[in-house]
Amino acid sequence: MNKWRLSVALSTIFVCMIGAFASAFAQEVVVSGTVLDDRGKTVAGVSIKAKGVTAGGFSDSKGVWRVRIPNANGATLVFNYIGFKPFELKATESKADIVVRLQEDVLKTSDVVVTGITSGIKKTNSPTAVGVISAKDLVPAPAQTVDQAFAGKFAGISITQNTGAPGGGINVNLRGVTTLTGSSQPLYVIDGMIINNNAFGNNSNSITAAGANQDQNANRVADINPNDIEDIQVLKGPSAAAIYGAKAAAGVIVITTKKGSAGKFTLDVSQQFGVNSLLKKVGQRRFTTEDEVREVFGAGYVPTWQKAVRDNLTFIDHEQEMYGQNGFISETSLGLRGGSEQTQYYVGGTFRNEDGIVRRTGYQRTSIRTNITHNFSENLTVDAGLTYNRTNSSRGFTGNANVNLISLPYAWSLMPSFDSVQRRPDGTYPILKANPSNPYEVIDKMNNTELVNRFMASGKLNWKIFKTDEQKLEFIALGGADFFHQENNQNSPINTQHEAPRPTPGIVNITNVSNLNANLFLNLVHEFQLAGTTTIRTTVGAQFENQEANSVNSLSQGFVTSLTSLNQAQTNVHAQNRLQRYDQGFLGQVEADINDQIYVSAGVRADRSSANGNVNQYYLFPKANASIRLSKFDFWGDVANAIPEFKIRAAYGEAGNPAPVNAKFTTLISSNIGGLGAGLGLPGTVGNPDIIPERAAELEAGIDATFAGGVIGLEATYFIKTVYNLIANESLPRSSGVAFRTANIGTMQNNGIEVALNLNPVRNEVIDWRPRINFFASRAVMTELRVQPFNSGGFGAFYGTNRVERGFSPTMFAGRQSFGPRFMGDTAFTASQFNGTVAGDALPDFQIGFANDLRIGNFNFYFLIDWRQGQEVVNLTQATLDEIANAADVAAAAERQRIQNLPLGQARSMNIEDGSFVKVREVAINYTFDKSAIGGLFGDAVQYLRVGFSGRNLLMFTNYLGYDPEVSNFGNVVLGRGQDVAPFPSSRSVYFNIALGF
Amino acid sequence: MKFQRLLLITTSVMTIVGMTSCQPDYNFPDPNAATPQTATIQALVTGTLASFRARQTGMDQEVAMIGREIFVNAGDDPRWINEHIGGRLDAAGPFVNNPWTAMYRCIGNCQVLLDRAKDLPAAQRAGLEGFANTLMAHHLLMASNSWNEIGIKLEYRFTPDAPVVRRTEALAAIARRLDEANTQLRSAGATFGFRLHSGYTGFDTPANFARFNRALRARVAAYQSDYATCTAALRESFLSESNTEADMRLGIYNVFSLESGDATNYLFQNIAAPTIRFWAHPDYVAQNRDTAVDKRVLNKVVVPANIRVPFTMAGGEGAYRSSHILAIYRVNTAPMPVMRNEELLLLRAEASALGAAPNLTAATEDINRVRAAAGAPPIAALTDRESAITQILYERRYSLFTEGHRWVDVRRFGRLNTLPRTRATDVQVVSYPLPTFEVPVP
Repeated sequence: MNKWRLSVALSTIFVCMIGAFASAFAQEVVVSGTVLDDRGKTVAGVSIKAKGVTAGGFSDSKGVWRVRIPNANGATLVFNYIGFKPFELKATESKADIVVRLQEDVLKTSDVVVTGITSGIKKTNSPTAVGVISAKDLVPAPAQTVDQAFAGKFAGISITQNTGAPGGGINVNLRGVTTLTGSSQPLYVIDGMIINNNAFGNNSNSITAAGANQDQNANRVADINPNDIEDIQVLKGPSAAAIYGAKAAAGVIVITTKKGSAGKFTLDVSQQFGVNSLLKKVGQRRFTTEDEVREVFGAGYVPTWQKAVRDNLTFIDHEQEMYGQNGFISETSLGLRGGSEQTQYYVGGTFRNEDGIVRRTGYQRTSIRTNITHNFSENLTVDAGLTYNRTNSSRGFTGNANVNLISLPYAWSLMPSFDSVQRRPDGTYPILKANPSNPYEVIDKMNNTELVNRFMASGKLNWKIFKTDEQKLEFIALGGADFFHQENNQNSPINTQHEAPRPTPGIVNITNVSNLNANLFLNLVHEFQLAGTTTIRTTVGAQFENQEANSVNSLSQGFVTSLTSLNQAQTNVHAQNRLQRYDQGFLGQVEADINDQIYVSAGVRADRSSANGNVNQYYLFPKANASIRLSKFDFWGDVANAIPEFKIRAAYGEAGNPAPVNAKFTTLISSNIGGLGAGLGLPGTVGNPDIIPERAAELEAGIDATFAGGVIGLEATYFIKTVYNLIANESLPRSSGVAFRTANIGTMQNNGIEVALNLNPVRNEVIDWRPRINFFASRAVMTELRVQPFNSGGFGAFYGTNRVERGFSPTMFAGRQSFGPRFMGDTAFTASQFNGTVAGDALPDFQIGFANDLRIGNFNFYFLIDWRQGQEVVNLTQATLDEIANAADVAAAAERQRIQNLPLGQARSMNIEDGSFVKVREVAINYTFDKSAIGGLFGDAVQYLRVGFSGRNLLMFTNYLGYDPEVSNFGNVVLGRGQDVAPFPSSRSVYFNIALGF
Repeated sequence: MKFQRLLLITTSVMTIVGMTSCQPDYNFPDPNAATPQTATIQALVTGTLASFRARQTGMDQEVAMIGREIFVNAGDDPRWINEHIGGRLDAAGPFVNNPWTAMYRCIGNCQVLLDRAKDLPAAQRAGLEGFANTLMAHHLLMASNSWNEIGIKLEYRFTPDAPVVRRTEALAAIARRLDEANTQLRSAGATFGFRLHSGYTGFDTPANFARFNRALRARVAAYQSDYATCTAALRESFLSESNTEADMRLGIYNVFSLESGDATNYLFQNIAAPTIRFWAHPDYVAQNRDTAVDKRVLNKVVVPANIRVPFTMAGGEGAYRSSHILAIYRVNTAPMPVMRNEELLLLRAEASALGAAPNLTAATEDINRVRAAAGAPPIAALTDRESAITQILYERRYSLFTEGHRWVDVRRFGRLNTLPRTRATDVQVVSYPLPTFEVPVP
């Protein structure tokens, strides 16, 4: 942390401490009683606050509460508890044994949603459609990484797993596409602190030669422990996220972690045991005659076939042998909450260990989080959070490979199903003639690990500078540091089939990345209470952020014996990449909440960044929005019986997506030849000193309503998002000496609809049924293109590539059918010209999430279905099988080949497939024991005991031929999505769980 | 109390204002490398030499496949067969774009050197310009060899509208650039202001380097069928008349090392390995008339030790077979030739036989020098132009195996149709297509 930052923090704390003062009380009203929920059970930890006077407290573990109101006339007490509607109690005289019954907020209308960095508003008044996921809904079935758990949870979010490999790599898109080559991922803010979600390269391409963009990197939000999360709010686009400014174009995910609670001590312990297993097999050709073998694998393979026939082993299920491991999963989680009115704490810890479906792959995460809240006085509160995470993944070798083909699925697609190349009893491996590597040997001997140690520290200081009946001024400082170190280690021992032919056999490839993100928000919030219940809140603030990252890669080749140390290598190659970024922003916004009926707000944010061409230029991001709760007006009258809530809302906002760090620089690439030493030459991509950030402007409008007396909740939203100054690598004629220039190349427009339906058709003492359905569809189109149209992403039009062309979707695929003659063999060859034929689109036509939560007595049954329709995937895994006639369905493969090779005009890129799917994402069945039934356990200490089964990705329905249509060979990109190149096969996981509360 | 609050508010505001004034420097330089304007000349020369070599990564394999010299066993990828032997070279694909890009990357680096040369003292400037122009001409020639009548570009623009120059015009421009470089080298003093690597041993002063320049000029002249210029240029080149193997190797090389950032020989393969990437085309051995003694076969291809032969290329339905593998480079840091004396002798033979006043005796002598070095028996004296062409093509094929000549040679003598067509669908490629990004969209 910089010196100035530390000194500011210290001086602020010091100054605040002077300002703390105490008060004395005189006359008072004392009230007490118990809090029950609508099922008659006591509720612990309910927060109680008096309106207008300083008084309050919490209910204890038996639901008992007591409040002293320092006012002779008493006050109105407000009871608040997450998941329940607030309850107001007028306490004018001292009284005991008051029973307060909280009503559960089934449709979650009283949740508070974010409207600014430090401000929020009740969801019923929110001018935007904010997505909310509570702790309970986040991981009904355990998820390996938190982003995986978002899938299907609300309208407008698309979660796509890039690969089935353990350890993350999840693409999170909010409201479709917002960029072409910028960060497509939302900004993650945990307890007010921006955390790093980069995917730093593991450099496995040094071994696979597949290219750095195909390393299947995990993005670092994977380190977050889902069990620490209290609540997630998702600002889906600029209209809601404008106040986050220059980095918020792709949306903001605001995560609040669990905090302590006064008045009660709870300990939640849970243990999960589970099993990972292969979700789907693709299948390989079954050979029946020697002629077939000769035709596909050549005469050299005939003896192998003859031996297979003799051994009566003409088909080996290699997929079962390679991916058939039932990987054991164990997750132990512990959460401790407690505290006094002054100090509250939360300590959470999770240890998860899982084995993958391939031997020697797996994932481990250990995380510890401590959150402490201390109220120095009525006016000064400090929150501090400290997290340590350690994740360790063994990802194996999958994906694309250009030399030695060590990728397991790639090697598999090329090997005969009758070739027994498994490990021999003596520990050696037969030579696989059909491929330069033996996948069984790769599984047993090669390593590809990623170890991340990560610390996150965050703090929040909340100082109420002054407060009168009408006015309130608060100073809120939020800040923190996020540091991690990532170590990737790949090695390939010398005594393997694939290393032998290398010029320098044996590889140790180590990457060390250290990254620091630090940020500080300073905010002043002024609240002005007008007559009645109208509040005007003004926020001004400043934000500072910096990032420094350093990645060092050492590739060592040529080993004599062991692979233990770089020192023993014949040749060492080092590469380093440094990132440095400073950002600064100022913001101001005014919000007015008029009689709980109308909410309006307007604000602006100004940002500058060292990543932009002009570092001194502030870019302005304005916003304005409003909502009207018609149901709160008198004219609504009796309609309220049928439609108790009806709100219309509209919001406009702009947000940015910064130029990629280092995009403004032309970084010469280093080289060496014949020992001359450090050489420098032109890079593939030249920088652009004039680069400006992307600007996304979004207008959204919608209604929120509840019908049938609150049984049906509806949220519907339409949005139009226009993204200006899109940044992409402008393709230059290569004769210029370089290939690309980073440039602001055009504009796209993306519009869509979101509908969410929350139902509660049956609700009584025994049965409580809550189905939820969300629907999302969006369409994007390039409306302006300042450069020549270009192909980008994928492996060329022969297979299927993205193409950026004005008037077309930026995620469309162009294939062989999309171009005029361009092969030298084609007649009338001129040049490639796009003929307007779209071969597919990586984005779905629509997606639907259907969650069903059903309680019958003590049983709880839950499932979540995720349906995506009309997305295409370029299936190169299948293409490889087809090309050598090794596919399970040879006739179909031959037909695809035929179509591919038809004369010009009729030819198609053969493996652009429909990737529509329906997945049963989450299933959970739980039984909660009555307290009476477990009364004997540990005395009376056990509050609840729950046992159950759960599952993730249990079922997949799709016509897609590959392992999983959820796939991205190039990771979290827009151009290049939906390319399937020998990915790690997906797995399903099933758990038994037991949870205990003390 | 009021004063206290005022103090606090003032302090808070001051901290916010204060932080804006003690911000770090936003305008920091690139943390990763120097710029073309600030890098040292030596670093840029080294980078240029590395990019000069980079062309050989794929291009040598690819044109050798088009010229039916080798098969590249890339596992499953059918494009190696489809594009180079099937002739369907994809204007948007890597086999067309990568070599073009690699060549123009080097040409671009030469352009950076030419820009930086303007700030140097006269002699140093001339040296750097002579060096950069020669390397640039070499790569333009490589590009023209592959893009032939489709054409190449001579201007370096960020827009795709630079004129496309066909073979004749391209060769003329390359010849002019070589001549200009030659003049520059002659006014460059005794030494260069920068170091070259060991592949330029004997060619690392302006005077010596000019002999490489003249050798290239001779090659261009032969391509232009301008045999008078060819002969004249050869006289000023590094041509050496002896007939030893060592003398055949005399020349300019791209070198490799195991040092950090360096590369290993692209065509090197472990001939004892269980999988082999580079196989000789079966005709290479089959059509040689002295397989028992000709070291150009014995030393350049071998029968693999650990693989059953014949090998068949994937994607070729069993049609493309081979029993011999490429074995020219036996260690992974073996240098790869840019231009050798063996070629110069054969260029002189060609000029003697096909020039305005044919001297078939001189041609026969030069051919026999090359054959003697290879251990092959001498040929009888050439008798006519056609048989001289046939013989010269034969010798070039074996002497310059996989060095990028076979396809260009049969094409310039109108004998593309002698490249074998194994399957009826095979095509004898005439030229690469222009990469799509070089063509303006209407």
